[in-house]
Amino acid sequence: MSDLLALERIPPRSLEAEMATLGAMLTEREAIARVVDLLEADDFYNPQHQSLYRAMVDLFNDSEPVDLVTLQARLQDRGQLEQTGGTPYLLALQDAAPTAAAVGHYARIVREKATLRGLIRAAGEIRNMAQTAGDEDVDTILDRCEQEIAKVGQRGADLDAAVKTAGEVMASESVVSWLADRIIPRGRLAFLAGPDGAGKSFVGMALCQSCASGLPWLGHFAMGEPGPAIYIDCEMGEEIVNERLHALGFGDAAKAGVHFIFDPDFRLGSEFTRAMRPFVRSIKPALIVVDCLGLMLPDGADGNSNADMRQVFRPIK
Amino acid sequence: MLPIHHFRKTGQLTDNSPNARMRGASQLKDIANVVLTMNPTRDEAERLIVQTKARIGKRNPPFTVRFDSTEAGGLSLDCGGEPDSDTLGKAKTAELLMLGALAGGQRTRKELLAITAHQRISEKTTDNVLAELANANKIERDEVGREVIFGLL
Repeated sequence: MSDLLALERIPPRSLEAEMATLGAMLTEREAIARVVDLLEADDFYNPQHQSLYRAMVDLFNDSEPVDLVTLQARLQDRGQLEQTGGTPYLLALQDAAPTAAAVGHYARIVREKATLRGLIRAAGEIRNMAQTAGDEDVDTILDRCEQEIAKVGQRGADLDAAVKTAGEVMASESVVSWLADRIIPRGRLAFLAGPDGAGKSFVGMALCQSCASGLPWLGHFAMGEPGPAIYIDCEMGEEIVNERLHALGFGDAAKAGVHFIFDPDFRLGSEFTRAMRPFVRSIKPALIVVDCLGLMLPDGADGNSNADMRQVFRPIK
Repeated sequence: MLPIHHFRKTGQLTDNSPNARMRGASQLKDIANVVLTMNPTRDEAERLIVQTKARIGKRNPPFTVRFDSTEAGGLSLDCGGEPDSDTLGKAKTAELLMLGALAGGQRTRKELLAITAHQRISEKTTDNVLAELANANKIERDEVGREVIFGLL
C-alpha cells in the first residue's frame, strides 16, 4: 500500500520521450530546429537531460555542428560530461533516436508532462496561499490563485503561435463574424447608450430574441447563426421582465435560448468573471446583455473614472 | 457583450452629445468596438439610433426604431430605416438628420445646413425644424461670435 502511495507521488514524466527527443537532436540538426521553440530546458524532468538540452541548443544557436564530438567537447568545457553520463550515455541517446519527423511527437510528450508538473506546483502554491491567508481578502487570494494556474504553460511558444505574417493573415479564413449584420460584431464589446426611458432594455431584449431565434433584429438586421443569449438584469426584476417578454412576443426558440440572470447585487469585475465562467462555458452564448452598466459597477468604482472603467472591463474583454 | 448604459443627467456639461454624456465616456469608447446611442425624437413612439463608433466595418447611417402597440396588446419594434426625404418628407428627414448629427457632438448652423442640403432640404425648412426642436426642448441653441451652435439637450 505504501509503495502504491509513493508511486502516486512520483511527478509526471516520460524519461523515454526525453531520451528520444535528445537522441533525435543529436542525430539530425533539423530535429533541433523543430523542438527549440517548443521546449525549454526546465521541461525535462531529469536534470542530466536539462544540461544536455542546454548544451545542444547552445551549439545550435552558435551555428556549430551538433554531434557526439562537439557535444562531448561542450560538456567537457562546462565540467558536465561526467555528471550527464559521459560518452556511453550519449551513445545510448543516439540509439534511442527517432527520426526528425517523429521528434515533435516526443517533444510534445515532454512538454505535456512538464505542464502537469507545473499544475502540481501551482496547486501547492494555492494550498499554501489558502492556509496562510489570515485576514487577507478572499477575492484577492482567488485572483492570485487564478494567476498561478494561468502561469502554467504560458511561455514563449504562446507568442510564437500569435505571430503571423501578413501573407498568413490574408490567406486565413478568419473574417469578421456579425451577430447582427454589419452593425453588431460577434464576440466583441458593443455599448447601447441613451437617456432614461429611451427603450434601451426593449432593444436589448429584442436583440436577445433575434439572437436565439435567428429572426432579423428590429425586423431589419439579418442575424448570423442562431445561438443562446444571456440577459443580466440588475434593474427591472422578474415581474417587469415577464411583462416585456410577453409584449415582445418571445417565441419558442427565444423562450428556450434566452437565459435571464436576476441579481441586483451582481457586480462586474473579476468576481463576476469567475462566477459567470462555468455557466458561459456550458451554454456558449452568442450574446450577453448587461442591464445596466451603472448598477453593475463594483462598489467604490467611479463610473466617471477612466482608470476604474479600464479595471472593470479588462478581465471581461 | 452588450452593456446597456444610461446617459448622465443633462445640465452638467457644455457638450450634451451622447458621447460626452456616457459615464467614463472616453474609456468606454476606447474599449468598445461599437457604440450605439438611442435618442428621442419629437415622435413619442420613435427613437433615433445613431452609431457613434464602428471599429469594424463602416459606420451605419442613423436609423429610426418605432415602438408601436400591436392589436394583440404587445409591442412591435421595427426599424424605420434611414432618414430619406422621398419617403419621410423634408421636415421629418431634416429633424432626424440633425438629431443624428448632434448625437456626435455640437454642430454649427452652417454644418447642419450642409447635412440637410444633401437631401435637397432648403435652408428655410432646416431653420424651421431647428426652431421647432428647440421649442420642444430637444436641442439647445447658443451663439458664439458670429457662429450659431446647436447641441442636444
